[in-house]
Amino acid sequence: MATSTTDGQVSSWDGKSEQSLRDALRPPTERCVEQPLLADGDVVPILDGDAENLSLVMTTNAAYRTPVVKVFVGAMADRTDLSEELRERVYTAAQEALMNAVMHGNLKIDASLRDSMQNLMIVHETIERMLTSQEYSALAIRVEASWSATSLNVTVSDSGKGFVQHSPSIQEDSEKASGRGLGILEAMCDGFELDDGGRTAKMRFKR
Amino acid sequence: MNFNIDSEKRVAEIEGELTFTDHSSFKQLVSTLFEGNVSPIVLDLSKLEFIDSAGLGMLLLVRDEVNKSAKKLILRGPRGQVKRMFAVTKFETLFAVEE
Repeated sequence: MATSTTDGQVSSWDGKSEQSLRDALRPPTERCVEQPLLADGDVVPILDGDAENLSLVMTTNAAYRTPVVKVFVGAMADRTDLSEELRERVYTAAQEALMNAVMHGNLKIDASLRDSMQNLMIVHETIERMLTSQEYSALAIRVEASWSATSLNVTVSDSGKGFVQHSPSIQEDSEKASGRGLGILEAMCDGFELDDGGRTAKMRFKR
Repeated sequence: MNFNIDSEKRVAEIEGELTFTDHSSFKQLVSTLFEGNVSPIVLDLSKLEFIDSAGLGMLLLVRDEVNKSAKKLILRGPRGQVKRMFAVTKFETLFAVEE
């Protein structure tokens, strides 16, 4: 349920389902925070008061178990006109950024380990085991969007220790099962950069 | 991600989104496909609406498994975002892709 505050419309999400997230992000919500993180005032994002915007702060567990980017981009489209082409690019790019935030940022899992079907399952079991631990499952991830008549910005931030940017070209890694994420991000965005020591992915789109 | 398998034709139809959270269901799909000794194995992607880089990676892992067993893999009918991701990543050069 959305609650009115002096800082804009804040809602809470139970972190349990796609439908409950869709409900929590329904207008006029501007900021949505998953319930376990509500008590932590630091996780409530501070957004540009002049721009139209939407933000979501959630746990790693909820980010892994819910199609948050799909719902978030849908919520953006409820607030501002997005062409099908732009909506697809934003969804594709933000999904890559969210995957990086969950897998590499907060869970510290090396994607290159998924190099065989057997190892894929080992990675899966490792993720499930880590998500039973409060140490990892409760780590926050933020998705924030702001837009104007000419541009749209989306940032995804994790709570990890950051990493050095490695940007392999798509061609170089064409035979490997991993290593395409940053190349896809660069192809989908009109501007992309990593900030805050690799903890924040900033995506810019022209409209 | 959901999937349906036509046991006679060995065609697996993948629906919805194939993303980094689908490891387990994708492994289940592949295990079912490899139960028989049928070739080619066809993955029908015409109802797959979205794929991320991890989903692309999982398709490559299927290709590797197929190559080990001297079978053939065909990806059939990618459309929309999936087709565009194939183009961006030059995936069409790595697989037999049917329209």
